[in-house]
Amino acid sequence: MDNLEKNLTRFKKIEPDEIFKSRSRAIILNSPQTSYRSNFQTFLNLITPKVLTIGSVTASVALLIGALSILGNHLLNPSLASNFDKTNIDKEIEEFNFQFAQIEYYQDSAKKIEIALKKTSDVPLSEEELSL
Amino acid sequence: MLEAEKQHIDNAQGGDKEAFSLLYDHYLPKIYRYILFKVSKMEEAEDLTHEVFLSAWQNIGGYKHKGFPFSSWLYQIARNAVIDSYRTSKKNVQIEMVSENLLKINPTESDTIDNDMELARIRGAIKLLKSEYQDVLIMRFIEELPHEEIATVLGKSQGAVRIIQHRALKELKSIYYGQFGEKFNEV
Repeated sequence: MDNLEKNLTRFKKIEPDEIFKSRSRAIILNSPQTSYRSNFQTFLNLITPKVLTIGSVTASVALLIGALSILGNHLLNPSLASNFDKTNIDKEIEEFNFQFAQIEYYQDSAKKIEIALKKTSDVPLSEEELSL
Repeated sequence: MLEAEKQHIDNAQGGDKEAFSLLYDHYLPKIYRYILFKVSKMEEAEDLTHEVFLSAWQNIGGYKHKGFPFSSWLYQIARNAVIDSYRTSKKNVQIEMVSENLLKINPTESDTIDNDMELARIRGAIKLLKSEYQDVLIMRFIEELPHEEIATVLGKSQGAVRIIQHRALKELKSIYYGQFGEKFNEV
């Protein structure tokens, strides 16, 4: 390395003026930075809070309606709720049995009346009717 | 790139002023010297240096580390700022116009008035070189950047930078010794 090259390295001692340095720094740091988000990201950032709000409100309303309808079926409707009451079920079965007994009774008595009428009018009876 | 510097860059990208301030303090002298050698006035060098760091602050969000030093990004901004400045104001600087006041070297570093004069003439000779030669000489001999980083800033291969360096130095010597004759051959 000759003297010219050595002299070039001496230029490294050049420093900017301190007043310029501090003034320039203050101006730069008080300037806004450029946003480097993509348009899609900006769009997402804009709509995401709204979409999330709308979505969460919709989901909450749907849950509330569902919960209320289930609760309503079980608690608010007395006729349906009574279906699950054991005493009521037993009572209904008893009523059914009574109705069957009545039907049987009416069928028997109708048959007997028919036979009695046939006897009085001399109509020959079948073997089955004779056995009754 | 140092891990600490990477952290400062990340923080500055997030708007951390203190982090950018550290980067500013570290790189300002280098960028200022580079620009000072490329323009004719100290005020112009200050204005362009300010523009470079303002642009760096505003656009640091777009900076992506690709294995090159952060300084090469700053040098690229500085280089473009100087080119834009040339376009807007074409100036032909003659050696006679170069003032020693531009150098502002610490007096303890300049032993004599002759030394100041000598540096002013070297600077004048550098300014007569073509822009690419100036870039390589400033970055290689004044800032002592590795060839790899100079190649990144200039967008050339390392081999091409070495060739430019050789030619630039040869031409600088030719101008310098040619302009100032035998008196400066002893330099």
